[in-house]
Amino acid sequence: MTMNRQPNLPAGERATLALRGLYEQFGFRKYQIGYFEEYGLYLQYKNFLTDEHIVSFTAPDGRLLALKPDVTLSIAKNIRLDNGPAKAYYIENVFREDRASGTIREISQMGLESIGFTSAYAQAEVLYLAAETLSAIGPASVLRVGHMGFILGLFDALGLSVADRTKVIEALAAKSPHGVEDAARAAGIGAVGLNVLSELCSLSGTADETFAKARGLCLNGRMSAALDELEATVRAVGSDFNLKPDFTLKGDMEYYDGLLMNGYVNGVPNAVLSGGRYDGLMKKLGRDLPAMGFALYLDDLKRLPRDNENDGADVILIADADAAPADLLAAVRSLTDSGRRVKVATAVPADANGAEVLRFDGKEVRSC
Amino acid sequence: MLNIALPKGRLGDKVYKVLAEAGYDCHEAFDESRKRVFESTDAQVRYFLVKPSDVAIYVQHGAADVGIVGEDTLLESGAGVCELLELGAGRCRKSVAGKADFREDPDRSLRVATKFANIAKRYYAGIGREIEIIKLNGSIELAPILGLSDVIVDIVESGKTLKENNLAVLTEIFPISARFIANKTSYTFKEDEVNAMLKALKAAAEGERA
Repeated sequence: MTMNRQPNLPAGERATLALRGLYEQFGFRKYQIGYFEEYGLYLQYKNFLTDEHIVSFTAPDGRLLALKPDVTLSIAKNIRLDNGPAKAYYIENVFREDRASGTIREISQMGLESIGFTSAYAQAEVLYLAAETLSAIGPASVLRVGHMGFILGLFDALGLSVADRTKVIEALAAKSPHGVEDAARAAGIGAVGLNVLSELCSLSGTADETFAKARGLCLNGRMSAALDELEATVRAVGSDFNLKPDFTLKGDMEYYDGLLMNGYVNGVPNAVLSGGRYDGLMKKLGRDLPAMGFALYLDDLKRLPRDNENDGADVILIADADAAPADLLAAVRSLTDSGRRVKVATAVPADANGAEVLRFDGKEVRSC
Repeated sequence: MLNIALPKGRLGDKVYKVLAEAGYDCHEAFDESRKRVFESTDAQVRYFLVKPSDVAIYVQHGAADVGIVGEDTLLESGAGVCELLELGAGRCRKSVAGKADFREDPDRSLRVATKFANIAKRYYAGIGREIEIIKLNGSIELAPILGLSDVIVDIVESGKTLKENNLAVLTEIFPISARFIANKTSYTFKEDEVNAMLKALKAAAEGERA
């Protein structure tokens, strides 16, 4: 039986089908988590979450539970590591408050986590799979890659306080030269530091050019080491993908300390993929191990046009009501096996939307 | 094609000059007309004229690739956009104002009337002052006069409106000016077009300052 029967699925669903196979090929196993988690977990690690509004309720046994707003935290806390490194992927729904409408949104995510790895290969693998994930959605995609260690190294070199770091990192994330200047002035950063920060806001060009420019901005060993690691990982993934070094990507300073990534596809106004290396979170969870992963926001992909905007059928097959079911089914299958979507009707419907109209004469399919 | 969201009203009139000097002549958009969308003659650029507080929303959601917005409305919206340039145009101050003889009672929460609830909340949280927000959409100056609020948080440009209503600036929160912003996806896929506009605007803004 031919299973070529997904000619007009939305990009998110098509990607889900294609990517599950890819992740399995790289040794990731599907991991399922429940809808609920102890509220205290999210309260304790709220800075790790992109949204601090958590939907909580009291369970019948008196425990305060939350509808999970995040998947990574649950996997990082609960996944078994007694047999060595763990590699898991997931397709889950999370729940977050929609501030604009004041309601709760159910958001579909797909992603993977690689935890407890012991070699540089593992993070190249995750970056590669993130790039493949974006490619599966569409050819017009860009994966921005940065390194939290580069930014934290810069902050060390500038001797910034925690409060000043927060202001500078926000201005960098907005690629705002005037914001950086204001924050630098308030923090008492000198001309050299200000120049580095301003340059980071506007770095552009090819990956090679950007790495070369960033090399000239390193002020200490931590920045250089982070840059080496990022460059080596990007080069390991190769030139088949559109990877763009971007040193303005941000992650929470307590939880992220390594590679960061944000993926964009043309047609969706925000990042559809985000992730990075979160060793800091693992440490806080009492599992001092390296970890890296990413999430793809499937709901956002629904904004992308389908390959075929005609969401009804490619073929309207007109058949008499008393046509023999077995013969008609065989005729329909001869059409669906060629990848077309077929709707059987007794008359041409008003919403044919440009579908090809054919007639089943009781024996075979003919043009009208 | 680059889609540009521009603010209507006072700020729009000010940024129009900078845009024209930068080679982005959008006089049609600012002429008295009910038309909402204007395309340049070479069809390289499309302008939308929208409410100033909506510019950041159009850009954040990708309906516009770039826009020009007041720093205060940008902060208020919390939109996650690239903030590429301070334009200089439309300079004013976000201030706390009240009756000229207002004396604050520290023993009760302060009633603050404003259009900018998030900015007011952030400011007072930063100085540890408990407040009650009264969200208004216009004629904010009326609130302290009629006893609706103790103070207002609003934009002060010349201070003339305050003076005419027997009000005064009590504290300046921060200075504000217009910002050139870009959607993050647009800045990824239309980087050259956005950077060309950024460069032209930078030169025009510097010319204005000189």
